[in-house]
Amino acid sequence: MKELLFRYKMDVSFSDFVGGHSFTIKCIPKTSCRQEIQVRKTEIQPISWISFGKDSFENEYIYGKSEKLHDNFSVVIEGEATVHREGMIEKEEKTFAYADYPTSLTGCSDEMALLADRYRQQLKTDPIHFTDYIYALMEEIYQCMLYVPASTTIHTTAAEAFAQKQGVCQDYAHIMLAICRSLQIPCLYVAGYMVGEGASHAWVRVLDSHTGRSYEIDPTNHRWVNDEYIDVSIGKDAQDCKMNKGIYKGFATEQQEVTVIVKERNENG
Amino acid sequence: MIDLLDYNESINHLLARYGVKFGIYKNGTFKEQLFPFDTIPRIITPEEFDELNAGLKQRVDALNMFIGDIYGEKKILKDGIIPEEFIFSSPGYLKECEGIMPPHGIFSHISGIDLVQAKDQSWYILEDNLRVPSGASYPMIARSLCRRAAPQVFREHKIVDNRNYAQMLREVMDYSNTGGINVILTPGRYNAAYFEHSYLAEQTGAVLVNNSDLTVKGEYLYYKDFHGNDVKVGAVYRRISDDYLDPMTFKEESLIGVPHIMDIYRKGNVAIINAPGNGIADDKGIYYFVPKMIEYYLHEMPILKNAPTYLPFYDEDFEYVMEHFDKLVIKDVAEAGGYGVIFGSSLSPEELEKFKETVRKERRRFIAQEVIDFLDIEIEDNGEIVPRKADLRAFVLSGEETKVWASGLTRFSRVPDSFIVNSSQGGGFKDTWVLSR
Repeated sequence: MKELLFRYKMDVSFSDFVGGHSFTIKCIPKTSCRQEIQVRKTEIQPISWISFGKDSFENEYIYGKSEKLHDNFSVVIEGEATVHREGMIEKEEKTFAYADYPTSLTGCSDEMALLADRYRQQLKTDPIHFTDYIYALMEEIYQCMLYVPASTTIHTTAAEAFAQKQGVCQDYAHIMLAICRSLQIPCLYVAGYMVGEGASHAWVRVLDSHTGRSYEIDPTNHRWVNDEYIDVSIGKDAQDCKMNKGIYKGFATEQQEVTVIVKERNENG
Repeated sequence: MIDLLDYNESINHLLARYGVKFGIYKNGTFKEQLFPFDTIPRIITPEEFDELNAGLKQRVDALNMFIGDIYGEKKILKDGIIPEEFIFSSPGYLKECEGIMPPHGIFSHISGIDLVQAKDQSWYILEDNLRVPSGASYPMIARSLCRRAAPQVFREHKIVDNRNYAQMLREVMDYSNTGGINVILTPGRYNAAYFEHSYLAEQTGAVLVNNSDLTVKGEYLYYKDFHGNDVKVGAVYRRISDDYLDPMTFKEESLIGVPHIMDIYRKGNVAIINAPGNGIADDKGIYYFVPKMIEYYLHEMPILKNAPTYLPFYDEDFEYVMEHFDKLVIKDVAEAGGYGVIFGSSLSPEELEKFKETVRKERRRFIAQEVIDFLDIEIEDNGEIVPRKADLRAFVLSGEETKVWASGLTRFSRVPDSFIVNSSQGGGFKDTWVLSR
């Protein structure tokens, strides 16, 4: 169990004034069986109004609008998380979100299908060692891929990233999801934060249909998810977990900067 | 009847003046064309209408229960009546609609069910349209012009009055309304059915709006009136597709949608008519399962028949389709408006082989149907009475009760022997008379 402090900060600067800006912010973690969350600060500027919603995956979000002209938009979320357990959930219900059909971002290429095929038989004949196979599969993806910042975009598919053998956490997660789905393993995309300083992170949750247990695994960092990870949202792929979305009126280019800091509570007393 | 025929030209002239037009995009350009009206009505006897009435209500009730089940408990999947794959891999299924229960559980408020009558007089359902079915305004206005042109015809024949559609529609909007005014949301005058949007607004007393007239503020949707005041909206009869409805939830590039409308819809603070996500039930692949849905949800036998349909997804059907390819009509489940419909008999041997190969590779993408020999109905063509193929779009409205409009849009092909009657492909229309007892 770890006591964590988290801070999410996003700054968008526009090259010119914009208005009528609608936004949806999905970066607030919520309490679940894995974690207890206390949000200490929510600051969004500028705003005309905001409200709260819950999407079809039960992720919580803030939506709102800034009507007046502005050239800067910022979001700060701060809070405390007590992460009880590692990334394992005892009894996970198989909801629609787990339905193992590929999304547009998580289809398999022929090469990925070949990789998947090597696990197909084993998973069927030896379901007791489900976690071992999942770990091995994750390891294989980790070894094939090279982490290269900005080597892909939010629209890059799993197949494209796998073909170029490089990407960021989102791509690692998509590749793993694509392969799991082709093996009929129910799985989800998880967006969240992990201890350290940097951007937000993404990993994968897989459900062992035989035991009803689910596990979270991080192919980017070659490990199981532990109590240094805070879940923020789940979805079928990164599209469902976009931490911020916005549309506005105006001719402007935008620059976005996101910083996430997560540290252990005792580090700063 | 002879009387009405005399007025063919003048009624068409009036329809043109009223702007009863149909817009078509062809090769990237927008062209508005008249929707030719033929004064000879399609006649439905009271006995026939009784059967249609009962069968259509039953079908639409089952479809509404199905949509609620799919976005809710999914019992029909758990019980193995429909394979999961047909739902989750369908483009009509919207994960964004999971868990939403609209006011009174009604998803398809306005259903346009396409039927044909075969030579043996029996009716077959061809297609269910549960997203934004259009067409009711055409027989509405045609009837009122015909009555004006030849009132004696309507005195001499016992015809059920069809001028109550606007009233029925208004009841449906009022029933689902969550508190506030009713609006009809149109993408604007370049839409194929703009005439209909404006006509229905005028007839129902709803306000005709563009997206720029609407704003979400916090929990509710508001319409900005002529004085600049915000007026709360309780029901939106939207005439734009799901994809474009809310750029914050669906296509980000949509400029005709209302940002955040889905957020408040999910909370039950506005009714969207028809509900987003209905595409899952009018998918051509799901059509096959509708009779099974009727049995499953209502424990009744279907009153109206589907056209005999095969799903290449199932091995047995696949074999049949491959063997009888030249006798079947093959439909691409993702296409609409008469596109993606191919008659096996119209293909050359090479085309046939090539197409068979496509079906073999993408078995989920196609359905195959026996070609129904439509009963021809008469139309007037340059002063001559000639037989042509026609279908019937019946309108079923679901509010406090499910009601079938005693009329409908009869569309016909102007090309001899052609089965494609869609207005987007140049067909014309007729009034549909339901005779009273």
